[in-house]
Amino acid sequence: MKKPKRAQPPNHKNGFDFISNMPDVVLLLILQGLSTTEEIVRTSILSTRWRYLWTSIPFIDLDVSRGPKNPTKPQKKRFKEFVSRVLENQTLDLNSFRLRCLNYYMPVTIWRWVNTAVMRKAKRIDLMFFTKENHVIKWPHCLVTCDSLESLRLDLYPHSFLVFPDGMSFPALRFLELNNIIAKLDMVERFTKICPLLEELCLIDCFITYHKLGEILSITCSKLKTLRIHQLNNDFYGLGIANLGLKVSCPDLELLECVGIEFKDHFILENVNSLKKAVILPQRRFIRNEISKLGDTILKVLVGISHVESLSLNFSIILFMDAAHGLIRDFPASFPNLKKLEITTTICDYTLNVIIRIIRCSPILESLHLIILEAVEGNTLNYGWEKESYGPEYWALDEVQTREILTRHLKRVEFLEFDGLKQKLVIARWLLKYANALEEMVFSWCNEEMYHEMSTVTMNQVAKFYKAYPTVKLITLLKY
Amino acid sequence: MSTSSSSSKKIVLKSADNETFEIDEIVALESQAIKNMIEDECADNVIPLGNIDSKTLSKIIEYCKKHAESPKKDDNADIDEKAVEDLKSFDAEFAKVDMPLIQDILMAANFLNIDNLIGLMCRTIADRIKGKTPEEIRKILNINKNDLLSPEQEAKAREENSWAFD
Repeated sequence: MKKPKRAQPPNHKNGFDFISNMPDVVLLLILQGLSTTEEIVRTSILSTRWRYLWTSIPFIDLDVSRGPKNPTKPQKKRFKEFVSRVLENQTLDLNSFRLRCLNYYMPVTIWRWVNTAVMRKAKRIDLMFFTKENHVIKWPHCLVTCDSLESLRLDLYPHSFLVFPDGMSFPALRFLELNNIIAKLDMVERFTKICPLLEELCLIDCFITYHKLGEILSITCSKLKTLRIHQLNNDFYGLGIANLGLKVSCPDLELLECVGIEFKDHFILENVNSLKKAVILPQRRFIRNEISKLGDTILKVLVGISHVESLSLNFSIILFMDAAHGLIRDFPASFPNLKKLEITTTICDYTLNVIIRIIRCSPILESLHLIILEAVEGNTLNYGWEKESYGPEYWALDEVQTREILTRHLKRVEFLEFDGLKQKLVIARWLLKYANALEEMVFSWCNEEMYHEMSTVTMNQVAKFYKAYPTVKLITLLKY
Repeated sequence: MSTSSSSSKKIVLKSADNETFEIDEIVALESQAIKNMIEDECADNVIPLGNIDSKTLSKIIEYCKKHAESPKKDDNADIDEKAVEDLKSFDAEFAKVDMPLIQDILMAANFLNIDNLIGLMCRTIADRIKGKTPEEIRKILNINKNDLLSPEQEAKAREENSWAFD
């Protein structure tokens, strides 16, 4: 079948260095696929052809933690020289500058680098560093006004105080993420004013200083499409930004995520008519005698966002809703657009009622995801949610109507903190038997020993259960 | 598989080893170089590609067919998402070939000016040299030994950016 080749057939087989003969643009594309600057710079010794190609890559991504675990002083110095060298040798304008340098350098050094990146018209800046003694960090002069900047991510892990100057302006900024900063509330809110094009705002584990009683976080932003407020770390003594009341007024907002927030009376969503997806997962701690009051607040919130297509809720929300005075009167009449509903909850005597209620009001629901938790920590004593309360009796297993409503759209079930308990297997068997749209059932183990000992046996058992949807994926995994 | 009608205009490509491939014009237009030739009316019925062998050319046609058939951005957003996923998995499968063929495809794609395919091959090469030592990369890419840096030059390059080489 072999035919003689003519013209200049590529003959790398005979040691022809074909890659180095490609034009620069192609070699640069290959280098861009290498994502870290350390790795890109290492290609400088491949051959003379590759010697200086790295200086024409429009992004910089440097991370001191990719080096030795506990760097010595000379090693830290080498990283410092490297950052400076890479920045100085860039021949192009920068698309992005990402730097992660822990607490090895003074802010003044870091700001000098940022200044160089800004001079190179960096569009995206992503910084992660902190100071040794939780010193106050002053926002740098080079970042007071920056016309080219479109995206800024700042992470002062584990947390540092940050002071902003007056006169800031970011006419092109579309994305802002602040992580682990401690700042004055009005400083954070000010960003929504000085960034007229801001489309995405993420406040992750931020804390507030000088908090006045009754002060709430108010986000008013005309172009904002995504707002994320997450508080998963409460290690700092101050007040988390997610522990404040919240007021959102953003006509273009499409995605709202409130994770780990402390649900307050003031949770006001005004003018969120474009909202498509809402993720509202309050923290699990709350004051007992406030629950029914908060329930009325959450009902109002749900009415305000009843036009969303996707909704994620957790156990706290269900608990509030169940306790609401106005559950009958104020429950949203309908979630007319809701296609996807995800609920993370433990199952106790009233949870199913609330879930069924939401499903009944959702005429076009396509998929329901249930993530099933152990009894809620911290509230066990007050409410008697012992492990036993995970029992099958709360699932109303035999009520045909409940069963049909619950299983009709059920696409995914995950058992968190799974331990192979018989009661849970009863529920798994029941769901597999009736949920005829179920695509995936996940058993997430949190105990490594248990996982290794019991996972295979359990899965063999589950594999034998009758399945209404025969091709349902059964997954077992270890998740801490 | 094909969405084109039989009445659509055909283009014939001829490989270095004299094999001919008849394809729809719409497929050929994925190549900016062929597109320019057609627009400038300097394309005959048969376009000879003297530096591309038939094995490489048939791979390239397979790629262009798939990409020409995929709905473009301006269509309905729902379809878009699914089509993008579909195209992604096609690309991933497409790139599962050995290094010599990747290099042939890359060179041909560069010659024919097919941007997406150049990008895909470059990403594939990057993935294969990721995390490798310079010595390993030289071997994978078949880098010419005559172009190597002198020991002094290499020592200097390593010294200048010592952090990256630690």
